[in-house]
Amino acid sequence: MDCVEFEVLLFDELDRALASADVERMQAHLLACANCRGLYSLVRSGDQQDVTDLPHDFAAGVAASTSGRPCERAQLLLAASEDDASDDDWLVARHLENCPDCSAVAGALARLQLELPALAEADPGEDFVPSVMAATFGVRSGPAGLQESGPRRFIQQLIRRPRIALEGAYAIASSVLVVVSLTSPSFSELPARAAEDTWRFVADTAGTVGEGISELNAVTLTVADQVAESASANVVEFGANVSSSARELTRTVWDELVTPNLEEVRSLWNEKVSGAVEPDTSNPANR
Amino acid sequence: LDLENLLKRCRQGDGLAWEALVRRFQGRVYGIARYYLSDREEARDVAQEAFVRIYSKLERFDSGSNFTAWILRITRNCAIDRLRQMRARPQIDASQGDEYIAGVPAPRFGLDTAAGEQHQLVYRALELMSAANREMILLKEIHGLKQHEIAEILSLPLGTVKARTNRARHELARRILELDPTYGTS
Repeated sequence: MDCVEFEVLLFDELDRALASADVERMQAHLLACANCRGLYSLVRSGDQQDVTDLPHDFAAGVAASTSGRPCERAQLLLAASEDDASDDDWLVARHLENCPDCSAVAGALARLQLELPALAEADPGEDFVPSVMAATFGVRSGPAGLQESGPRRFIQQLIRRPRIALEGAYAIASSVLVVVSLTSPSFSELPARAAEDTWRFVADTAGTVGEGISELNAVTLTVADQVAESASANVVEFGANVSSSARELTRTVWDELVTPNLEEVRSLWNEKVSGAVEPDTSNPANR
Repeated sequence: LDLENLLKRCRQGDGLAWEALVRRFQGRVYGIARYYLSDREEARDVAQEAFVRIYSKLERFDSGSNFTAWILRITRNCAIDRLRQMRARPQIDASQGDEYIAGVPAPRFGLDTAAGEQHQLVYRALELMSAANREMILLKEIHGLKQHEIAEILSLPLGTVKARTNRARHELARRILELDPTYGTS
């Protein structure tokens, strides 16, 4: 092996990419050539140089110019809940060895974890428990002992309603209005006037119904007579029968359905109003 | 008396058991109320109202659940109800109504106590945080709720709660280091 071939194979040897026969030939050449021994020693020392000679932020600089700064991800992993334990813990630990910012965040998080639970409670004062006991007296309907039931509990709940003042004002105003109205003359006479008006309406309606039935009867008879006049003898007889039946039907309806019901309506009305108003007997429909 | 038996006796109407339960949880309930309401009297009223609701709903509490999470949810709801009422009554304190619209108000509950002075730095850092992250710190770190319990209280997906709690811790650590770079080094 000459020096030119040695230099060609040198970096392959450093990468451990040579066959054992080539390695043996290089070692034999090193024993014989002082120049190549010097070169080999220089290259090996450079390859094994201690990383502490590198700048402190060398890895961070490389990351920043390639994948981006890893601190944000490291800090989010640090802040992750214990429920979200990650396989990346060893990566974060390695990062913390060389990153003072993230180490500070880790320290702050650890102290906060100890300090925050102490903020859970605050002192409401000595008189707080008695006031709660008073406020809860009579609230619940379940167990005996503290409970109240019925109207008092209802009133207690009512009083706790946020709009109780407004609702109370409405109730008082409504009560005053009712009392004033009840004591006024126009209001006290209202039932008698209402009864009279209602009876008048019923009587008028009954009269109208009666007149309507009479008119229907007359129309029926007229039609039957006209049919009888214009038809043959058989038809005349048939028409007469129809006319007679129509008369009888109308009379039956009037006598057996309308008249008794009219009387019944009148008697029921008299019972209900108990003499508040006398029916107007001058109206023929009421007789 | 353990909590389960205490609750059982409360349900049976034992006034002494109820008093003991109130004493055991009054600090926590008032602490939550103070977190949402800067006014001490308002916070006391809210805490009292929360206990009334707790008492009236004791029958409905599932014994297998986390009692602390349950009372926290009730107290938080009471506080939000009060903030809504204060919005409707702006002459009393308009600033709190505005804070409610924007989210959860900044915590001030510890600043008027001796214990609070010890944690002054943490309170100041909490005030600098966003409202959503601050509430995560309150529920997860201060009161120690599980993530699924927080998700239930805030009606958020579990994944959102996980991401938000991690971000909240990170933000709090950064805020507190801005105030004191040596925090956590000793």
